[in-house]
Amino acid sequence: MASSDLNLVRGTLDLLVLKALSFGSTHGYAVSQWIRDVTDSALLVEEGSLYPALHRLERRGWVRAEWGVSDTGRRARFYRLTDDGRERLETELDTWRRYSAAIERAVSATEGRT
Amino acid sequence: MARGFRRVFRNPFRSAALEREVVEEHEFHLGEKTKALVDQGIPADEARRRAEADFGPRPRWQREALKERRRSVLRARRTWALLAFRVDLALAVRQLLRRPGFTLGTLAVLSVGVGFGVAVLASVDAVLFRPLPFENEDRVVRLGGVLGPNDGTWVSPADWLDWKDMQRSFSAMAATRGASTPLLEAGADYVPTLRVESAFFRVLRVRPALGRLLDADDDRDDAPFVAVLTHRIWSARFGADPKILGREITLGGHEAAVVGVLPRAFEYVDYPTWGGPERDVFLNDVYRGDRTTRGPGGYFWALALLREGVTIDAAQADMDRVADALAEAYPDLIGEGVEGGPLGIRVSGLRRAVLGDLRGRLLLLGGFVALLLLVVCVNVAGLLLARSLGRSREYAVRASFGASPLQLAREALAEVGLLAVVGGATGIGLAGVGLRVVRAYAPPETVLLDHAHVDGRVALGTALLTLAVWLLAGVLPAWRAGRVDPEAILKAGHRGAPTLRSRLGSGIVVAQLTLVTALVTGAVLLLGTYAAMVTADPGFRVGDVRVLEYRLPTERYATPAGTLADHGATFSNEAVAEQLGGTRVYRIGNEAGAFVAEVTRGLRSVPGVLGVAVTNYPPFWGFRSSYAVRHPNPDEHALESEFGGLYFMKWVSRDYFDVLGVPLLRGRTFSEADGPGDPPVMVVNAEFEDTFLRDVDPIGAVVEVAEAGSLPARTRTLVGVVANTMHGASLEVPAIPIAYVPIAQRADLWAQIQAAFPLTSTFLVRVAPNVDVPTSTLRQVITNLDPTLPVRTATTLRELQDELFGETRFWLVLLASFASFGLVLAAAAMFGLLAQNVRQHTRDIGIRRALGASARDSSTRVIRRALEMLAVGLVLGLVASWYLARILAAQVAEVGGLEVGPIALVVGVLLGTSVAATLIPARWAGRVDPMEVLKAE
Repeated sequence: MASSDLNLVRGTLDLLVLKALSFGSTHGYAVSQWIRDVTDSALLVEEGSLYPALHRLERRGWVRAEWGVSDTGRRARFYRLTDDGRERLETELDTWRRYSAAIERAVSATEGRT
Repeated sequence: MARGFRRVFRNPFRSAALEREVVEEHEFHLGEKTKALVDQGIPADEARRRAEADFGPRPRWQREALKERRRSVLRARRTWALLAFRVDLALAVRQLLRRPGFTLGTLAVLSVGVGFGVAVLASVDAVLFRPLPFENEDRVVRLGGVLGPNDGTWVSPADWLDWKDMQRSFSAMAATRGASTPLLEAGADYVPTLRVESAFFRVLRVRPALGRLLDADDDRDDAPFVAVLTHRIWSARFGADPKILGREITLGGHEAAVVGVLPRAFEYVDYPTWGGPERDVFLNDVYRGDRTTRGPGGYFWALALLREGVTIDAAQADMDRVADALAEAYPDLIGEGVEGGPLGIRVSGLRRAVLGDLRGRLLLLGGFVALLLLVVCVNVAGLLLARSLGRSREYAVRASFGASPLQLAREALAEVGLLAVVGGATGIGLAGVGLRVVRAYAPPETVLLDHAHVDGRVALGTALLTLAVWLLAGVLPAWRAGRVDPEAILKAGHRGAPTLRSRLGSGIVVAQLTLVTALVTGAVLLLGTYAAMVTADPGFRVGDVRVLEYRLPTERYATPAGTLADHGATFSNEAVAEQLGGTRVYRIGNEAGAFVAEVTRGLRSVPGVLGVAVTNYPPFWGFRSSYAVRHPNPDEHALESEFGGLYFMKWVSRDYFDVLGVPLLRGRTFSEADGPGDPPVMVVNAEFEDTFLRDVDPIGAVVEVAEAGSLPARTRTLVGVVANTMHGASLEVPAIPIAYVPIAQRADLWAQIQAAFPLTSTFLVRVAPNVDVPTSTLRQVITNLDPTLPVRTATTLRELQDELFGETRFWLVLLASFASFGLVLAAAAMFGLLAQNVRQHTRDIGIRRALGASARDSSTRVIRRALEMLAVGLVLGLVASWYLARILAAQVAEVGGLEVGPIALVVGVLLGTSVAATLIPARWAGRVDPMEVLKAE
């Protein structure tokens, strides 16, 4: 994987994680399964990469974590969005939308300019 | 405390724990995934494998996850610490603001303490550690002779030339020769000058700011006379004139062309002379045509630059070799034959040479400040401790609500820290004032002190000082705050608020009393010395005697008159004759005598003048003759004339003894009949008689004395003995033998071997006590006769005498201020402790009173407690003082030992202070009303 792809993926991953957590507090496994389900496994190739991303968001103060008990009765680390995180999600979404629209316009252009 | 320490610093995010968490989280992920797959009907093994495949390389993700987690933890910890710091600080500020009295008091104590500390720090730094303004300072050494007990004597030119030839240690060597020369320019005055060899500037590695310095051609005897100016005098006297080069300036009777100006940073300090110790003009022609004189009694000081890699010790060994070789070659001149010989050579580092023993004195100063700062620290610690105990209920409540001991300790530290920082900052401000005091009273030889100022280095030192104060003053209260036992305190209720346990509280007061006793002892010892100096009868009149001094320029009032050989001088052997025969001789013209006579006449005619005397030096000083007294016929009178039996030679006019009121003990003083053509006579003081003329009837004795450079040595008939007079700052009044010679019989031929300033005249003018005779009027008499001649004046002899006491006064002022500040602190501490005690024991006192104790008993108990503390402090302090007195005596002249008198005074001062501190608490204790106490129960 070339590094430009990685950056894209990392930025996108943050966005997806924030999005996943916007539905409520949950653990890493659930976040990974949600991303897999909604993207057809296209983005989260290695699930392990989710955790450094989660911790990074945690460090930035967008996500809070605490240990709890999962619905399967096991000890799990639950993540939830902070207010800052919710704001961040909005900005990221906004950026993403403008970005993807721009790319979309570019790739669907029929005529080049000189 | 240890437990609390662990509790606070227990790391909730320790690395192992973090790692466990990461592994557990990943494990949970894999477990859930496997379970989900199994639920989809995939066999367990396969499911686990798929889960792991989807997860990716576990070690990598664990590593990365852990890295992120660690970063978060670090950040959290930083934030936490910052927050805790802010909280502590805010709390400290609030606590301090809540008691402005306490806070201001503590700050005052700290500021003054730190202020003193910084002032002394700046001084010590300037003198000991700041580099001298020369490159290679550590390679520059000073060379001087060693003769008998005299270290650092001057060197003669022929010896010096041999040193230069024979040495192997130096890459450059330069002889110097100092003088204070009248600079006959506008605003004429005496300017400290230094004749130097051209190598001087190479040794010091200076480059000119303007023009050139000296070169080898300037060292030749036939070279024109040239001058290099310091930046200072160039700016002050010549308006920093850029066209100064080539200008002729008149120095003494010489015209010297200015060839260069030194850079601003350059300064050179030599022994103090008229105009101060800093040299302002550097001249060539250090030899003045004489390269042949040999033996003790030269004029040279020398500087040399050590070769790369040569140590001072190695150079000293090298020069010892040179000295031995010379002593062998010229045994009669500088070898064993010379009294006190052979002549040795001393190599000393420049700073040491410039500072002399100042180093020891500055370290002493540092010691005093350390003592004072210790008092301050102990005092502040006591204040804080007392206060933290007053707050123990608050601490106890907070502790029982879960505040950790360390948190409480940290808060206490924050409070002291805040006080120390603010106190340190204001202390720096006060240091400026302190420094001005130090400089104002510093003895004149401490010129480097002029560079003492508060700068980055000193500020850094202050920061360290503040830190030290913080730790010293803060640790104890912090420890106490952390050790609060909530249960005991809360159970005790309002009555049992803990007192400063007697032992700790008394310890703090005793420590201060001990330190202060040492400071007071120092001050008392110096006070005794100073008082003795000021009140000692110098043996002559010091008030109402005005002083005027001038030096006639040798070149104008004396003419070269051949050599010693030309004048038929006799020498002990051929070799000596060969060496000394070429020494230059000057003839002092009649003009000099005529000038003196005219000035005397002029001064006498001023209304209000009762008498005028002329001498070569004021009564405190003299030119020390290094020749012993010889009797013309040793078989007839065995005179004491060992080396060290030195005497001072003074030329005085007839009225000298009258004007100064020196009593005649036997015989007569000088009269009209002791003129130039009459039989040579002399008068001596009692000490001279005791030293040299024991068992001889002095009157009528015929003695041969060398008159500092006069030629030839004359035999004189002793006509009188006068009382001893004080010499220098010495209290041992009769210590110095003096020979008085009538100025009218002063020799008119002077060999250059000895007399430094044959044309120096000091006029002592006695004025009527109730008539105002301005010194300027007297000066006018001289300047009317020669407007170009600079005249130094002093209002009274007392004023000159005071200069001599300057150093002792400096130490006295310093120590007295330290001691009084310390006394105030110790008294305040004692008062505080006793007052608190009385207040907290009101109940006990009341009950005791109810049981029959009298008011007097209660007061007595308080006083007894104070006296117990004082006794312990005094005993410990006096032991410390015993050492202090010895150090003081070694560093400051004339300090007496620790005797009954000073000890009694110290005890008295401390007793008085303690009693003053005790009075109010004792009265409080006596006033406790038993009824009220019982009612309150």
